Amino acid sequence: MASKPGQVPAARSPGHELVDHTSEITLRIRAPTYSGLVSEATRAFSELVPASLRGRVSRDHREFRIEGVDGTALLVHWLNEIVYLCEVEHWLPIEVDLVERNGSALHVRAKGVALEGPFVLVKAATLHRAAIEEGPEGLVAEVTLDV
Amino acid sequence: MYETMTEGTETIPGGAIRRVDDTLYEISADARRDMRVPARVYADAELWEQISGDRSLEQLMNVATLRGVVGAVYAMPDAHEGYGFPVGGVAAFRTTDGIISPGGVGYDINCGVRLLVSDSSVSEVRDRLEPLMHEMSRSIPSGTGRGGKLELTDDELDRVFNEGCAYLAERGMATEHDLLHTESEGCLPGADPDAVSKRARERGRGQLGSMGSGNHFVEVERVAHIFDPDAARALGLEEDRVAVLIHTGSRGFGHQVCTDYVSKMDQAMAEHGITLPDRQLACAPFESAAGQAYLGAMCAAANFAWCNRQVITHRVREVFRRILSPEAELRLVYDVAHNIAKVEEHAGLSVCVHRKGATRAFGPSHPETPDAYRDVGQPVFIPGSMGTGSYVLVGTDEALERSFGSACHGAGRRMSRGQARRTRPGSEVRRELTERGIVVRCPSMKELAEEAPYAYKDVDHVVDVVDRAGLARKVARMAPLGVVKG
Repeated sequence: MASKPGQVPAARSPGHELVDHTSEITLRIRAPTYSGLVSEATRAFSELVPASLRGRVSRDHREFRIEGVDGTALLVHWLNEIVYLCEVEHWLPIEVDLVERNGSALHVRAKGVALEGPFVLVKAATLHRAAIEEGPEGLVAEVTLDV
Repeated sequence: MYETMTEGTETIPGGAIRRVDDTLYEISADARRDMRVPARVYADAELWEQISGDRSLEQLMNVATLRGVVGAVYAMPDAHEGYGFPVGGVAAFRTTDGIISPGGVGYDINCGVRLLVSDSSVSEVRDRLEPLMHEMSRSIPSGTGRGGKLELTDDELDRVFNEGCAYLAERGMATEHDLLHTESEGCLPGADPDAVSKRARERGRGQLGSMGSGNHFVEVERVAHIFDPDAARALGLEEDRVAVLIHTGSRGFGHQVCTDYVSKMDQAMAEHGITLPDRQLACAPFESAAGQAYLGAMCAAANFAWCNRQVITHRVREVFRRILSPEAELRLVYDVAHNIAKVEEHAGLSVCVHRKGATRAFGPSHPETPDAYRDVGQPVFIPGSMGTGSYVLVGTDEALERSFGSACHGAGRRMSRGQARRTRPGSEVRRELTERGIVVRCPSMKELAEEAPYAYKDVDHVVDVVDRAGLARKVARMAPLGVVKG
């Protein structure tokens, strides 16, 4: 569930904020585990897609394999996967039900909705100030989206 | 945030900053142990306050740490925080032992601006302005993801990547004059279609001839004021003449090329022994396989972007002929890139100049300045916001030494999109522009609110500093008559 700006999500429960800057949006995501971060980042991204663009929820799951040097890069690359899916395949993942991380590889299984057309508001997820930190509430990640 | 200082040198936390003159600040190379060259910022006191208010200076200093950097790194007067490099940043790296960085070019590879001047005056167009803008908005796909009405096969896409605008000339969508009046004649040599991912192709396919969203636009303008009559004459500009300014880039294709190579270089940096203060500066040695592959893909994206603006030009010409007169002419004044990396020679060195949110501004004596502008310098276009107007300038020979021949690229945003939306609704922005006689076509009221004039910095001020700093010379000011927003 999304938090309102400035409101800290309850300890160790997943949550996120979308922070608007001059030409970017920063995702701030909190979750108890890395898998939770990936799921929450997916939910956060999906909030950017207007309801008017969304079609029916698909029953099928789709699986993805992402490569990256560390957890931060994998999270950024997963978001870039979503950018591509939304723009070219008109498909938005909304719920992640499997996240497996094995070193430099990330395996994600998700179900999603078909989009009525391309969603191109977000041009890319960037490594700009991207970070995952461990705190008392679990993991906290920041990823900046180019819009 | 760095303090503003009067002329002289003062050491402050973060290093020594010197105000060199009323348009230039310098952060010395010893401000940080990892800096290899000084960082120079073209700004007056007010712009310096703005630039030092975000992370632009830290980012500029980060760029000064990169391998093979030469001379100094520069921030233009419109600089603001970007990803890795600041927007409005210029840096040059030796091609022998320096780096190339996708973050130093940006996501929208060869985003740029072109100016067309018509043979009509404002009085001849005024009555037909509404239908003109309406037809333009119908003919030029804009907004989020609408395609460009020009589906290309893989072979045709490869020809766009390799040949740039020359391919469009063959298809009857560009003239010889267009090619000669486009930076690099609308084609960077060295494009490598094999270095372009399938994903980049898929994002770019069908987007040629489309504007995209955000701050991209096609604007019908009038020449409102001439500062330099001789240069204006050379560029074919006279007061009250109608002109068209086109601002767009390489769309999803360029974004995917940047995404692909930031990721590849992030994974390959350890192999090259490169450590960075910011991961978005991901880079590779220029001469390495990864560096050359990025260069090949970036050149393909640059050529795609020039073709994109050329196809839009073709559509605009069709609309002018349909609405105004079958004989209506729109002559290309020039087309300049403001997100690009190019191999150039400076002070006898072969360097890869990265201009991110910065416009090339070569003076009259530079061999790459087109023959038609050898007496005045290469045209430089600096758009303001929708409703405030734009500037035409020409490059100077001094800029070669001051900024590797570069000037700024626009006014730059000062408000986030959300903040702009909350300030006033789009309907109010439209009403205000209409009251001023400006016809606006925009995909939605939301986007109109986001692109409102007050969401941008003062372009007059930015251009004034560019002129006073000797980076480029003011030629004319343009005022908007009608805008089609992306």
